[in-house]
Order: sequence, then C-alpha cells, then structure tokens
Amino acid sequence: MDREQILKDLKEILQKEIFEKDELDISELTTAEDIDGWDSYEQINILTMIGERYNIRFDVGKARGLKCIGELIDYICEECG
Amino acid sequence: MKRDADQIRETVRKKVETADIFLWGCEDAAKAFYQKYRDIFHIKGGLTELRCHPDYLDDEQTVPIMEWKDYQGGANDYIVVFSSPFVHVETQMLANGLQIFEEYIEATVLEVFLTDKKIAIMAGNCQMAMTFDFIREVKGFTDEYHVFRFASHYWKSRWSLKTISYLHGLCDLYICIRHDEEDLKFFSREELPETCRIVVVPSLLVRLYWPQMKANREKARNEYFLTDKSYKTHGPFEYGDANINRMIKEGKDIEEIVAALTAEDFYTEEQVRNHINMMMRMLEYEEDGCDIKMSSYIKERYTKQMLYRDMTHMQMDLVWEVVKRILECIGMDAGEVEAVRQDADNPACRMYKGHCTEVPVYPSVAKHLGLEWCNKDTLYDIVLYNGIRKMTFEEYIYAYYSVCNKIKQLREEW
Repeated sequence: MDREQILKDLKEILQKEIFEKDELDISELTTAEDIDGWDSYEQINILTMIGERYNIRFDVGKARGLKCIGELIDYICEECG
Repeated sequence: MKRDADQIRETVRKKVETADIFLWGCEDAAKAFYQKYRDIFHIKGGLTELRCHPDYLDDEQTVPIMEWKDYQGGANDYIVVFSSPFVHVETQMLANGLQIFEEYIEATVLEVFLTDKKIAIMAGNCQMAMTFDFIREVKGFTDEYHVFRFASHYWKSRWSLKTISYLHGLCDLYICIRHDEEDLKFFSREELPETCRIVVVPSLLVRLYWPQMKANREKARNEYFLTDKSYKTHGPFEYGDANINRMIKEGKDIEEIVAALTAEDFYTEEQVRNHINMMMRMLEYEEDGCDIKMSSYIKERYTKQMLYRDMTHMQMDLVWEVVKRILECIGMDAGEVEAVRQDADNPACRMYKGHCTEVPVYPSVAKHLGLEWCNKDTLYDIVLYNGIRKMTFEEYIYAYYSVCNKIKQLREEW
C-alpha cells in the first residue's frame, strides 16, 4: 500500500467530508489536537469513512490508541497487507 | 476524592437534626421544604439575596426572611440552598469560609441524604437528557436511586464543580456516554468510589435515514438556521439539508427542487446501501467497549419503525429500549418499562412529543432501504416558529425552502 496515496485519501476525507476546510495542514505528524473539532465523535466518523474506502474494519480499541496520522497510515497498511 | 458516603450522610443528618437551619432562597421549593420539615427540624429563617421576597416563610409569620448581607451567622447554623443556580450561591458560601456538608448543602442533595436512596449520576449531553427523563419514570429505579444529571452546559449554569466532585465521591451508580466522558473533561472516574457501578452507554448519534445531512456534527447544523431564543424546543430546520441548501445557492426554484428530491432515484441504490452500511458500522464502532449495545436492535428495527427524529434525537421507543438495557445491566427488573412506555400520558412522553422535528426521509432512501413505515403520504412532526405541524416529505421541502431561502435573502440584503 502506498503511504502517499493513503495520506492523500485521508486529506480528502478530512478536508472535504469531515471538516470542510481546504486549508487544513495535514501531515503524518498531525494529531487530533491539531485540528479544531476533532473529538471522539469525529474520530469514529473518520474511521468509518476510511474503513469504507479501504474496505477494512477497525479494531476500535486499537484505533483509539493511535496518536497521529502517521500511526493511522501504519494501521491501514497493516490491515491492507 | 474518595469519602465514605455513609459517613457523610450520617454527619449531615446529625447536623440538621440539631442545627439552626436557614433556607437560602424563599420561593416554592423552600416553602414546601419548610412545610414538610417544620416539626422535625429547627428552621430558624430564610435568606435571600435581594429584598424582593415576602417577609416570612410561613403563613403564621413566625419564620423571618432576611437579606444575606444582614446575616451574621452562628456556630450552630446550617444553610440549605434552594436558589438556582447553586454555583452562584456557593461562590458566596465559599467566600465566607463555609464548608460544604459541614455548614451548607444544596437542598436536593439534603433531601436525598434524608432518605436511604442510593445516588446515581447520569453524565452526558442531549442523549443522556432523554434517557434521564425517561428512567425517572421507572418507579423501581427511582425507589432505589436518586438520579442527578450533569452535562457541560447544565453544569455551568446549575451546579458547581465542587458539588459535582463531592457527588461523584458519593455515587453508587454512574451512567455515562463514552464520547461525553472522553471529550468533556470534567467527567472523572477517579473521583468515583471503588464500589460505584459504572455503565457506559454508546453515543447513538447517527444520520441513519438522512444521507443529505453532513457527516460532521457541527457542519450538520443548518447554515440557514435561525435560532429563536424564546423557543423552548429545537427550532425549525435545525439540521441542514445539504441538497436543498446547495440548490438554493444555485438559484433553483422550488418546483425544480421538489421534482429532484421526490424522484425515487435521487439517491441510487448503491449510494443508499453505502450510507446505511456506514451508519451501521459507526454504531458498531461506537458501542465497542460500552456496557450497553444497541446496534443489533437498531439494525433489526430501522426498516419497521422510525427509530430517530433527527440525527441526534431518538424516537421514544428507542429511548425506552436504552433505559430497559441500562436497568438490565444493573440487575434491575426492566419489566416495568413496558407498562410505562405504553402510558403516553406520563410526563416524559408528554414533554418529548414535539420536542424536535421529525426530519422526513427522501423517497429514494425509503425505497432503497425498504422502509415499511414510510411512503409519500407519511406525516412527520415539523417544528415551526408558530408551533408543530404534520407534513409530508413534499410539504416539508416547501416549508424548508420558504424559510431557508428567506433567511439567505435577508443575510444577503442586510
């Protein structure tokens, strides 16, 4: 799985679907605290949309422990093989 | 702050039995308290902040009311606070060096201490408010527990952090919504006694029937929503229809919008299926790690009955089911729920009717999901500025367009 492509997809979901802000600065180091409004509800929203896009089902307990976008990408890569 | 709940109760009970009691706040609740306890406790007087109350607590005019600024305080005094918001009064108590429970107490808490009821706390916003209102209708539960509800906005206006903290320390049953617990930082499990039973309920906030609503909770609010502060329930068109709003911006007229949205293929079957799968997945994610599970119940029934009014408000049957499962979770007989839920006259049901708009479902969504309860003539409760009206989906679009288009024009002009 191409990390860059996943990051691009994540940016699209965060910017267009969830937060509707084009100017969001998102990198692998971005955390939920960096983005205004990213609370635990939006976290579930984000996981659901990513899961749909990559056809994966998250282990929510594990996903809650992810600290930044980079770790989320690691998780997706792992799940998608 | 772990304190022995029984010891605090005992201390307070002994205090009030021998103290000279002053009631802060002299309106109906204080007068009722006076009538109930006048022969049991020594109620010496009333306290008020402003001299706008009667001079006496009783008809015989023997129990005087004085202003707080004139109150001298005595070594044997004990203050019971009726005034709301409590936080405002408590600030003054603390400024005068008074100690909670030792020298003053909030009236509801005292009433609980005077019974043998256990203390339950329900912590959470909107969803918990409904559950709170409904569970209080279950006598078996209220015979055993006195339940307090705390939420962010409610806490700020009504209680004080100090009292919440103490009540957490006395709590026997703590019911919370996982999201609220995670996001609203003042909910702290660390203050709960080790013996406290904790029940974690999932957030049931979901755009189940409504792909036209935006995914983000804040963005889902209608950009053309006009709040009416005098309105006690949720106002008209609180949640936005992204399709109508877009078409309004594109300058489409109402006939074009109605024709588009009432088409049975506005959303394709694939779009609708994807949407419902996502919503179900969300509910499953939400309940992960929670004590109460609702996703299977919702999955089994959403085509047979309308389970939600909008994305944040459940229909009553779903609230009752949550209540039932909470009772089962704590080992209480939930049989009473069936009888209470059938009683449309109970206060929670009466209050809840017309609480917020039932957002109509698109014909294309109803068709592709096979919703048995929904057709083009289905009537929904629509909350308007001048009351509640029953409307079909099509009538709803006309009303929505009329209101939101006007708000858009007003904003552009002014």
